[in-house]
Amino acid sequence: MTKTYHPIRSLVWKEWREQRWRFALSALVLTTLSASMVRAQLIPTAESVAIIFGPLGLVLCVFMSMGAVPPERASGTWHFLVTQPVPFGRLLIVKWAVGAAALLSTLILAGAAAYAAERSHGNFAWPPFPDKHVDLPILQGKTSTLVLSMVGTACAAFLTLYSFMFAAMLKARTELHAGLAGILLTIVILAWAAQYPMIGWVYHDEVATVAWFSSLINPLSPLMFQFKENRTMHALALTMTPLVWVGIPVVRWLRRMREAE
Amino acid sequence: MSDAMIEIHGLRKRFGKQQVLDGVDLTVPTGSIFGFLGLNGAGKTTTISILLGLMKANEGTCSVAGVDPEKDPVEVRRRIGYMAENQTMYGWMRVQEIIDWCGGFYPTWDTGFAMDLCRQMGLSADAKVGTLSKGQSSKLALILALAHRPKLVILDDPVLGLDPLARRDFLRDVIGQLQARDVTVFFSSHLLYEIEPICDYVAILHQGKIVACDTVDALRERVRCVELHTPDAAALRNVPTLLDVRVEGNRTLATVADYGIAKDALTRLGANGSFDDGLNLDEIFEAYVAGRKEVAA
Repeated sequence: MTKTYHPIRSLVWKEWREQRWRFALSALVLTTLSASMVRAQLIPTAESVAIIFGPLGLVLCVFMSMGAVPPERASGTWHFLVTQPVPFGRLLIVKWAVGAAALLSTLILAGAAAYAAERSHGNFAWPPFPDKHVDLPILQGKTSTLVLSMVGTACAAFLTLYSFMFAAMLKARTELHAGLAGILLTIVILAWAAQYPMIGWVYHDEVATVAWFSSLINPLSPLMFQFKENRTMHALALTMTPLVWVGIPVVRWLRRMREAE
Repeated sequence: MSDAMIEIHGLRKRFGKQQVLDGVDLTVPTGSIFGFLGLNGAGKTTTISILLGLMKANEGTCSVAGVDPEKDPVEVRRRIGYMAENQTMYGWMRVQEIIDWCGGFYPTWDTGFAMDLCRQMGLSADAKVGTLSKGQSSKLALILALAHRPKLVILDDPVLGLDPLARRDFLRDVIGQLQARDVTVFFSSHLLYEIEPICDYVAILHQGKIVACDTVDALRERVRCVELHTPDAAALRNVPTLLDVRVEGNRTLATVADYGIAKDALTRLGANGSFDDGLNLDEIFEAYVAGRKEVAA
């Protein structure tokens, strides 16, 4: 521990001391699980890896983000921390960065362990979907590039998810509240992502109803593509989207301003 | 540089529909020990939060150690020492670790001085913060507020939750450490009898306004309790600066904020000229925040 003036080092040291058990636990569980499953040939293909690592990564995002601010609020140390002479933004960035580093390290460690297990023994298809991707001229003979880009994409995806959760949990007063918020956010994200496979079924009545509402308020919804020929739908979406995403915050802001007066 | 360590002008803060601070004006002279008094919920902690730059006021300006906390909150916190009510620190750190950790945030941090204070206050450097008693935790918080040798220390109800012995110890440490170092102390509390002996100045915050602000001696000189033999409710209402009227048996006691101004009116009402020995801070405070200006029917 430093004895000289260095706010960032002090913040990182404290965060590491508080978060290291989360990193150790996550790395131990994920590494052991992935390596042993590959070794035992329970995960024969890369698709299975995605199925296993996807939910585990989500859990990891919740686990890491709920450890940043909520425990400090629950124990009362948050006030002590924010009264130190360090900009609030910098304090949050350090908290975010330590959690993000632990998350990425865990994922990379678990991936490396799985790869090592496969190399020593197993029947593991790597890279995934070789018949689809390696056919691309740009990637022919560049398996390592493909693997790295996939790992990079996965890390970026989980990092984005972790960042959303970190922001969502900033005001949670306890880890329990944060965990529940994280689970809720995961469900919302999964529901959104689940629209992709639903595109094929969109003409089923119940799915079409979901698609209709989803597209109206969310122009980024994958289901919106189903209505690309429907001009009425476009007009409705153009009206509803700003109402929901701009109108509601503006109304809330106006109400707050009126209260302040 | 101004002679005031803290200057507050027209400070207003509202939370939703609740007006917590309603035009607070305050000047804390450099080198003084300033008691900031008020009931729970009077707005003391809100004022301190604004002074620390943790919260923005709706209106008004303030300056802390020459810096505007709204414009440069980090510099304000770097220049002052702050101890919160029921301050919770990291229980897993050892005393030495938390001293070193806090040192990372202050360019002027003096670890040797902090360790000297620990020895003086009987704190072991190896003790875990989580194992310290409430009194010891308060001492540690005080050390952390002093180790960068600030010129201003803000103590927000620091004895809250301490038992009487721990309070006495803590206040003795505060007096011992601060008076000798020419440090300005802004001391918020609602335990008046505890801080009366150590304060030079006091301000009373009530319903978001400063209702009294003066030296302790001047307040005791000004605020008087007078015995009246023939109370006339209607006439009593017209006594200038009247704070409180109490009926005790067959006598009526009237407390006024400024005896110099109210003297003639009181004499006309039959004040016999015999006053209490002088009100203590507790009684003065009670008259300001809970005084009734009507004689009960």
